[in-house]
Amino acid sequence: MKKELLMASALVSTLGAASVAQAVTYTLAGSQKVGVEFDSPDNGTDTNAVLDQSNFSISLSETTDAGTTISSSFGIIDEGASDIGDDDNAITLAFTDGTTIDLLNAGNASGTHDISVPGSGGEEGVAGTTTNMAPTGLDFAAGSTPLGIEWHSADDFMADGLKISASFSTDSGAAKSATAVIDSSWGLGATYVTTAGDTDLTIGVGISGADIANTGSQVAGGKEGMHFGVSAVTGDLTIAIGVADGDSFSAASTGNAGSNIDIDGSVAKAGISYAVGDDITLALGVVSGSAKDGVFGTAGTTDDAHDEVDGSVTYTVADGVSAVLGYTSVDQQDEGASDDTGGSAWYVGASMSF
Amino acid sequence: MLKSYFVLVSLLFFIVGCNKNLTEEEKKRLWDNAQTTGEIVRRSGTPFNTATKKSLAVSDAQNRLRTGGGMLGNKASFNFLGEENKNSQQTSTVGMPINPYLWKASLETISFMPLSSTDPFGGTMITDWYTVESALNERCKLNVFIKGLELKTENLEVLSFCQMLKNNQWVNMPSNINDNRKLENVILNRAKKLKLSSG
Repeated sequence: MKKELLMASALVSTLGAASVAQAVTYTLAGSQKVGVEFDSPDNGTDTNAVLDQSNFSISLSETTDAGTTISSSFGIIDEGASDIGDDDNAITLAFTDGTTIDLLNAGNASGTHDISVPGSGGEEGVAGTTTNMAPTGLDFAAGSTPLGIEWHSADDFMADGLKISASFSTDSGAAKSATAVIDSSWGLGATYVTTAGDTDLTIGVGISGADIANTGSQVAGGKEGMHFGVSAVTGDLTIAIGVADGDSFSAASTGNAGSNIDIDGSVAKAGISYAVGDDITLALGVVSGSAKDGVFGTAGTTDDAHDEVDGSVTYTVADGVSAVLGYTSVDQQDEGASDDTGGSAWYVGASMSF
Repeated sequence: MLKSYFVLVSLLFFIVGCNKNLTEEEKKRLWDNAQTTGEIVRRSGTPFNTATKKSLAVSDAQNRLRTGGGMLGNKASFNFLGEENKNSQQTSTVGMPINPYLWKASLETISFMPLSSTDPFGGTMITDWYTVESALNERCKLNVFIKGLELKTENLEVLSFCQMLKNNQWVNMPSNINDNRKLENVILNRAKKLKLSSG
C-alpha cells in the first residue's frame, strides 16, 4: 500500500494536478444523451423538444492490504434541469471471495435481480395521465430507505450458476407526516444462469416487502411483491419475458390531489433484440401493466391499464458513442375507462459514455 | 404471495438438477451473458447508482457494453492514479499508458526467455540472448514494443534479432519478417483471450 501511495504521489505531481499523496484512487466517468423527441399525444397537438441529459460521476476506490476493495461514488446530474436528486452511491465492500456488501443508499435486493427485457433504447416517452397508476417496471414493488444494507453473494454461490442477494433498510426516526414514505424494507433476489443447447438462459426472481409510514388513513396492501423473468441469448439474438405482481403506493407529495394512493398492480413485459453485425442493434418490446388504485383506506375497484409497444435501432458510432432511433406507442385506460391520454413518440439522438 | 413461494421452490429443484459438469470457463461465460439488470450494471462498470437512478444506470451500462466501452475505455475511464481497472477492455491509465492486455500477453508469451530490460511506461520489453538446445550455434533476442492504449495490431511490434556462430564469432542474420509477424499474432491472440476472460 505504501508503494502505491508513493507512486500515486509521483504520478499526480508529474501531471501537475496535486502536490500531495492521495489516499484513494478516483475515477471520472459519465454520460451525455442529446436528442430530439417528437410527441404525438392522442388528446393534443404534436410537439417536439430537445432532450439533454448530462451525468458526471466521481468514483472512489481503494483496496486494503487484505484484498477488500472499498468503493463509492457521487454524481452530478443535469437531466433537463429537473432532476437534482440524491445520487450518492452506496459504500461498497468487495471481498476477495466475490461477495459484496452495499452500505447506505443500498437499494432493494429484489430489484437487482429483475430481468432486463429488451425495448426501445431511446429516451422517448408518452406521459399519459398522472392518475393512471398501472406499473411498467418489473421492480415496481421494490423499495428501500437510504439507511440500508444489501448483500450480494459471489457467483456460483451454493450451486453453479446461482447468485443471491438480500437487503434490509430502516427508517430515519423522523415523525410521520401526511405524506406516505417507506418506513423499512426487506428484499431477496436470486439469479440463475444455465444453458440449453446453444442458448444461455438467465432466470431472475425477487420478492420484497416494505412498511409504509404516514398519518391519517393507512395503506391496505402495503408495499410488497415479486417478480420473475427469463432471458435467452442465442448468438446475437436475445429474447426475454418478465412478470411482476404486488402492491405499491404513490405518495401525496407526487401530485395525487393531496392523497396517498394505494396500488394493487401487475405487469408483464416481453422483448426481443438482435445485433446485426457489430454495429447495429434492433430492439422491440411490449409492456402490459394494470392496477387497481384508491386513496389509502379505500380499496380500488376499477382498473388502470398501460399497454405499450416500443422499438429502436441503435447504431454504434464509435467506442462509447451510440446513435439511437426510438419509437413508442401507448394505449391507456384510467379507472376502467379507455382514455385519450396515450399516444406515440419518436426519438432521435446520441448517447455517449466516458 | 403463494404464487411467488411456489415459483421459488420450483426454481430450487430446477437449480439442483442443472449446471453439472460445467468448466470454469463455461461458468464464466454464462455470468458474462447474464441478463438481470444487476449483472448488466455490474459488468459494464457504469458508476451510476441503481438504488436511486436505475434507468440511467441501466441505459448507460447498455451503451457501454454495446459500444465496447466508454469513450476512453470500458469502465469509468480517466484514472489518474494508474490502477488497472479489472473490467476494462481498454484502459487509459496514466501510470501505464499502454494496453495492459498487450503488455501482459507479451510477458507471458516470452516468459521462457530471460529478460534484459522492461519499461511499462515506454512499452518496451527487451530479452537477453536465447539459445535452444536443438540449435546451439544460433541465438536470438526479441524487442517488443507496445505503442498505445488500444488493443489493436498497430500498437504491437515485435523485432527479432538472430545470430549464428561462425568461426567462434557471432554473426548477425537477416531479420525474418515472417517470424516477427507470427510472434505478433501469438501475442495478439493471447491478449484477446485475456481481454475476454477479464469480462
